[in-house]
Amino acid sequence: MTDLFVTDRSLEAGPPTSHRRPLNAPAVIGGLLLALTVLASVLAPVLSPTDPVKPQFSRRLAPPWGLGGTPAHVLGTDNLGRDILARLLHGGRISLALASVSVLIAAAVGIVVGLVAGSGGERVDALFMRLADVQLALPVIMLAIAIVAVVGTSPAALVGVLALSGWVLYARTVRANVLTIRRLEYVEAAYTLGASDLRIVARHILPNTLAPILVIGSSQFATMVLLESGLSFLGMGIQAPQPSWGLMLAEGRDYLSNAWWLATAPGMTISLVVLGANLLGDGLRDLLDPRLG
Amino acid sequence: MRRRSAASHSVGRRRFLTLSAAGLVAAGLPRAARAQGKRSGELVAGLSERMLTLDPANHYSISSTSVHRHMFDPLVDVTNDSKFVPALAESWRAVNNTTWRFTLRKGVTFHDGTPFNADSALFTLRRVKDNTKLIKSFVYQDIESVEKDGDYSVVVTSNRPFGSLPAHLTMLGMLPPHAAKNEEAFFQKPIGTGPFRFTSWTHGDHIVLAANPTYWKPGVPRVEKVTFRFIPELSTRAAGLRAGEIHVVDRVTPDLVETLKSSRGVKVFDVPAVEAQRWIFQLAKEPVKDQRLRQAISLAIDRNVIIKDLLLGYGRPVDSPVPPGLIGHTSLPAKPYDPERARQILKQAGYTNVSIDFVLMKDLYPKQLEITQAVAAMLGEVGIKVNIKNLEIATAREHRSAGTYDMFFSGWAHMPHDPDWYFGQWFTRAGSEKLTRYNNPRVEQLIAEGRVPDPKVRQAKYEELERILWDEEPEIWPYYSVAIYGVSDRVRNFEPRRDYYVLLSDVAIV
Repeated sequence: MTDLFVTDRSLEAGPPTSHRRPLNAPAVIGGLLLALTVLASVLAPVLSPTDPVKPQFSRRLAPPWGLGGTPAHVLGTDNLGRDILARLLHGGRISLALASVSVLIAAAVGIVVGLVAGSGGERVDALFMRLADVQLALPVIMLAIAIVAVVGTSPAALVGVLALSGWVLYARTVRANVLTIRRLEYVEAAYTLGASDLRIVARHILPNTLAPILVIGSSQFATMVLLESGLSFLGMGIQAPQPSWGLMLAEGRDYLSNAWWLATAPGMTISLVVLGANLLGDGLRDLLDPRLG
Repeated sequence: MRRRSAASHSVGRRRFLTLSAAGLVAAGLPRAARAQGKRSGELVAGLSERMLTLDPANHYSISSTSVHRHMFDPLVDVTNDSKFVPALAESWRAVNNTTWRFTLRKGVTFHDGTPFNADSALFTLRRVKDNTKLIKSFVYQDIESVEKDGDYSVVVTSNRPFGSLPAHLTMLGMLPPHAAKNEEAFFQKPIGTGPFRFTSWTHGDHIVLAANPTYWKPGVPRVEKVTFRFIPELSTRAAGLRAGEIHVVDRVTPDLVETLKSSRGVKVFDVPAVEAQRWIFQLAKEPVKDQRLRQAISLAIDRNVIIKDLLLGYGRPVDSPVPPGLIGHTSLPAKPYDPERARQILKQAGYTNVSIDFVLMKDLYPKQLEITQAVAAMLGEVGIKVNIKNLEIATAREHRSAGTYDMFFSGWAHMPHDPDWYFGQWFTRAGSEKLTRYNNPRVEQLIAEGRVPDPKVRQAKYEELERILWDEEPEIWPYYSVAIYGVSDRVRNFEPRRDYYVLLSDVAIV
């Protein structure tokens, strides 16, 4: 991850310069992919052909349109006769909302911890960074099992688990930046002129760390979507009959040999969203990292 | 439904032909030739559940019972239509309500040459009663004494009637008394009187057994070697069967039947199981402790849709808590599907916005999550909200013993082919204490009276108590399960067991 950090050399020039670079192809493609899925999910109630939860036994396991199915169910139906497209769209609402909320919480917590650790003296710094080490040492899935065993399965618990798995990255990046920026001449000049700590953080330090945070955020969004799907797949996330991509994948697993579309549709969707978020993250980095270009 | 009955007819016809062919051949050959000429080849079975122990008294696992039956003989065997027939006991009778007398088979030896006699039976029975650490021990606690009367006769007395003793003995393999010297070492490499001898066991993976050439039953076994592979994942078992590496697999799901049937060299057998699926209610908890609510739930569930559309016909409508074929089965009026009446009852009883938790043990029963979602939708139609909780098995069990559930997806396979255990476990105060908190003194009394050996008395008592349960609806019996097996067409004389056992002693391979 070190290439995400804004290094000393790049910052010696002072506050960010504003030479614009053209948007690159990966960022555009990734952004479009993400925007499309988000839009489709937001519009799910309008777009989706049928109720995503109500079973229709007479239409069980209908194949996708063009492969023996009908245009009424473009992606086919699942083991309870529910339209897969409807479930994907509604599942997207849940999966994407959970992922975004947890990225936001993780970022908020991580930025605050990073700022405090970076500017609050050695002891505070050591305390927070050791905490971060402990967090990194715990496998996310194990942590999730433990949390779910105690508080049960609920969307709130899921967001908690996801956010808990993500804050460290922000904290470390922000802290590293704070430590560097604090010693730069223009910051010291501001100190000499009598600016308060808060003002320095808000005016000089935070704006300089936003670029790497954006990059981390977009690529972490992909990780969160994957993790949420993984946890739901394992039965620790969203509970049936609510649709979630991971849960759809889990339900489709038993039908791979006779109805492949049950698992394929959510699997492809997860891949596309993850690809989109990663492309966007890469593109943003290329765009924002002063060392490149 | 049509599909299912067609399937079972074809199986019945096939079995009939196999059996008659075997009978014709058998009639024309002297006994010795038949015994010698037929033992060849190797059978590989893929079982869904891992075997955890080689001690026949220390588990209630169906896979383990299957494997153990090949190494150990019990005193009593049970046929597929739930008749109790001689194994190591030639005959038995109830001397009175609390005394059983077993006459043992002569001329049987253990794999190491030790003769089987009353001392073996004494040792095995006393061990399972006295060593309360053994998992099967609790069943035998009513036994007062086990004594021998001569070398080939055993008398068992109990402190209350124990009519189901022969049924339970079908699951208790007989051990040689010298096992007591060092049990740990003995069960590493166990010895029984069974048709196969233990060869090797790779924990969690497979066990290999070799034919016992001096088995007491002529013509058995019919293969040289049997390997049981433990493969929990159905798709892996099915792939092994289709590739010809495995000859018999258990626990096939309805959705896979068509795929297997269209595979070359694979046959599918199905048989009504001795298992009733059950969704139990927490009877000490609001709101489901109210019989009216339970009745409304029962009326709102369309069992035919579950059987026809989700189980594809591989399930049967329930007409009594005890499946057909077992003592106590009786035909009661089918539970109707009447959502309108359910809504009425809810309205009259003043239930609005009822929300209940339906707890599942993750991945335990085939298609359970699918079925539960269908039930949730059906109950939603009459205004009952269902929260599905699909939990790790241990967590789900904690909820069950703590009573923090409204409905719970539970099953019951009548492994001893006798309902006494089921009734005692679920419908007596002591038995259901950590389960459903069922408490009805009249039912408890009938269960106690139904423990006598006389089958006529038992049938009468069970019929009466089942009528009470049918009205109270302390649980929903949605369907009787159907056991489905996938079998290679090289296999001869395979019998699909109603108790899910995979028994290969009489099975041959060509």
